[in-house]
Amino acid sequence: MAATPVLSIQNWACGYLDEPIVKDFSFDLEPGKIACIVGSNGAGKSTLLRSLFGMIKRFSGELRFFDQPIENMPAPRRMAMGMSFVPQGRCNFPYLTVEENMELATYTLPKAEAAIAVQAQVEKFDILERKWKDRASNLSGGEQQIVEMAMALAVSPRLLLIDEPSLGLSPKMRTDVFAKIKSLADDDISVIMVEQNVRGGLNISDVAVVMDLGRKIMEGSASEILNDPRISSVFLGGAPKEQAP
Amino acid sequence: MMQRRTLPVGALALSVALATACQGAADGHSIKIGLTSSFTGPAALYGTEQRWGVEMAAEEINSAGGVLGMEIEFAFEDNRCNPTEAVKAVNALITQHEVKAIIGALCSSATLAALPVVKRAEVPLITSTSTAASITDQIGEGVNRWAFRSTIADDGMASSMVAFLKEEGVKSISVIGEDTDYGRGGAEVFSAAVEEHGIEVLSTDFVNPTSPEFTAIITKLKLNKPDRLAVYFTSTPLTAFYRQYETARLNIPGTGRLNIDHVLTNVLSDEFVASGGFDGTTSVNPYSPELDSDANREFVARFRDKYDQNPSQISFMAYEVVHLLAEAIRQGGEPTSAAIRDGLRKAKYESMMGKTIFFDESHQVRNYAVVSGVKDGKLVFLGLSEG
Amino acid sequence: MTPEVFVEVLINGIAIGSVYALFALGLALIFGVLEFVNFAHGEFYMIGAMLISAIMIGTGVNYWLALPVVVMASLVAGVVLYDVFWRRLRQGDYEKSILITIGIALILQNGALYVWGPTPRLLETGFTTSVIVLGDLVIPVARIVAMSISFTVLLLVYLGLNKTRGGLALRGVAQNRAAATMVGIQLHKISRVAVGVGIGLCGLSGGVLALIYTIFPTMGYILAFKAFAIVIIGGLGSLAGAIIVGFTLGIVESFVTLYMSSGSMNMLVFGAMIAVLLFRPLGLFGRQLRL
Repeated sequence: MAATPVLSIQNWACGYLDEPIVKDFSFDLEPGKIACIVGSNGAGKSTLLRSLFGMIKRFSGELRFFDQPIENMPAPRRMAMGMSFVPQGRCNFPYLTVEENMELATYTLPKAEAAIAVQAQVEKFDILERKWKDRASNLSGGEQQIVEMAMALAVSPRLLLIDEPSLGLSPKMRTDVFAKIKSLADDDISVIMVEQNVRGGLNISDVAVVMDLGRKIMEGSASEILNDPRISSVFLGGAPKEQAP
Repeated sequence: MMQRRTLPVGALALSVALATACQGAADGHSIKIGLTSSFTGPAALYGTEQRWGVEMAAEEINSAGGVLGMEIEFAFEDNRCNPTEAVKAVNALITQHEVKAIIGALCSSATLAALPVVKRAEVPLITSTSTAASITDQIGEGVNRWAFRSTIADDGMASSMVAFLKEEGVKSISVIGEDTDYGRGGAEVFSAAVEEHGIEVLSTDFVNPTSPEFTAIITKLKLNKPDRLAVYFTSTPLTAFYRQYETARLNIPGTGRLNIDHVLTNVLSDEFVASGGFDGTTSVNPYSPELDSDANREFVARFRDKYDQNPSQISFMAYEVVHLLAEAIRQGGEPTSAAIRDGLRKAKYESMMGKTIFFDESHQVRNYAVVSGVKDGKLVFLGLSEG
Repeated sequence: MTPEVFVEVLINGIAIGSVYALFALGLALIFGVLEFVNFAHGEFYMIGAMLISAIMIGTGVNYWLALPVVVMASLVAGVVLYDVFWRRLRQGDYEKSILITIGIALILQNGALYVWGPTPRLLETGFTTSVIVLGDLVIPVARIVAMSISFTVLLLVYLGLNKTRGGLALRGVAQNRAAATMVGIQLHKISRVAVGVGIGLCGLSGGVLALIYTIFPTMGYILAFKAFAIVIIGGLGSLAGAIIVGFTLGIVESFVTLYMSSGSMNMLVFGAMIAVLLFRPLGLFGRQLRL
């Protein structure tokens, strides 16, 4: 625990309307690590992720990004500091070409830097070049997921928040996407991922957090959690838990 | 959207009324009359003109001691020339403002809708403006004894206009009207009169009164080349139409019930008028400020003094109907709706148009209509005709 | 129909169509970005027309100076409207938006009636009643001017949307708000620009049509309803659709009303709108021509 955590969440509560959905959540993410948040539907995983990016209301708690308090910053500021977010579902611009999507991905960067940043992603993801002039909506689901990751990575984030990256993908695409996420650690990018595919998610993660009814109920290394009998009974074929409203 | 206010007409009038309170009911009560008109919507200009006429007459009556020792007070309700709103407005006047008689409802469509309401409520209604011939059958002793019309109707005016055109040697006419009871009714009686005189009707078109676009009709006129164009438009479509008429360099003299004064002064450019683009136009109306009589000249001067413009026919008719109504109240002897109704059958009023007007068995009046025209770019008074 | 009449009717149709396109474009732009329909659109058009007449009569400046003032004033009004009302609404607050914009429409309409009165006004410029005469062909100069202004502005808007980063960001917001947030686009900034430009275009069409039409407080609603039909037929939020349908309607209307009454023409337009809603809910051009 010598290094400063990338993200330090303390007693966090957030939600949409009057009642917080996520309550009393604390967690530290160490540099270069991939954290996977698992939990049943309605546990508050996506809500938590959105609140970390500043898209929804914070009720209380502290949030430090490389030791800087950011809980009161709007999303674009957090982005400028090096946080990127790939929300659940399609988050590209469907009627723009891949090129235009990448151009918008680097919207916050000065023009010259933007071109370099886009070029770097094109080198990393060969699909971009192949589909460069195609509209995003004409790409397959997996291809779109990759474009979205490339968009999020184009601004050279130090932390990537990614919600359900494997949702709706074919098994082969899923493997590809997970491999891409795993390789982010090589570029020193830390990741917080929410994933329904618990086994696939935990396989590429370093640490895992289990959430239920808006609270953290367990934290440990990904392999510990994966092998915990309680977890396998709940998520890998056990009885469904009662869902939060 | 509704205008709901009650205005005592003039503080001066009030003090005069109090000073002359010796004439009977000295407790300062007033007699309330309703006016429903179009204060908003496309015919809002006419509503304003009507209100001016009404207010001017009421001030005169009140400063001369009022009627039955009471001053006349007006309540106003907007109906936007919309039949549904006219029913609401008349109901509001009767139940909320408790008026004893109503003047309204400006547009023929609105008046037609108001007729059954006043019949049921037994409150007299006089329309001073709705000239549609269809109203003729809906009022009168046997039909609706509570409704009266103090203006001559379109059919009478149309037949005297067409007789005049026939003499001028007109062979073909196109008719355009706004798509309302006024426009359709006016066009219909005009077409009927035209055919009766053996003149050919080349085309008849109706447009929405708020439609801004007349190119299609203008193109049609260009193709048909009628000798005359009969126009049944209120101010908004009239203005829009003649602007585009000028830009199309059309040269078909107008006729029908055309507000020539408005078109000449507010719509057409001086050069176009000077070039004779509007010459030969004729029109028949219940009133024209050009009318050559002392009473009218004096009325125009007083009106101009107050409102800084010539009285329109709407203002004129509103002014006269209030005086006629005041006489009816005097004749009735009591400030109740029933007495006023009976008074309306007895009242006589010396119209500036030159006839003594009164309501006959069918609750219509007979009066002269003014035929005016354009000669060398100027509005000229051509004569009076029996309406 | 003689060739001269054909050309006159066609030119007229293109002139009116170009202004329909301009007006509907503003409506589509606001809808595309906010997903709210501006029911006061017709009234901003009316205010544009009233304002240019008031400025020209009040200060004596000529049309070409007054027009930019009207466009700027409309733009600012749009920005203020956004900051005061729409910005506070959440996504999907449709009822609130409808009530607010209808409320604004009524206030503007009755305010105009109060301030300027009901008398229909005409704009007097040196060229409003001038014509170009070529043999039997009579072409009103005002329509040519209206057409030229509309074409220029349509081109500028096209370039702005397709050749600038801001335009790209605006299209991005219209396509996916979540994704726009994700890439760091400030939604409020872009929305404000879209509403400003949308209302600006609306004031511009008022200033331009004032050359041809009479100006009165209720002039807006007929055009507004036509524009709703245009935008729906073209595909809600589709700018290209609004422009194509706007032009088509102007030209078709110009020819059809030669043989039909304008009332039946409106029936045709709204009939087409209902048919599109039933059979092609995304509009004739679907989502292919979206922002």
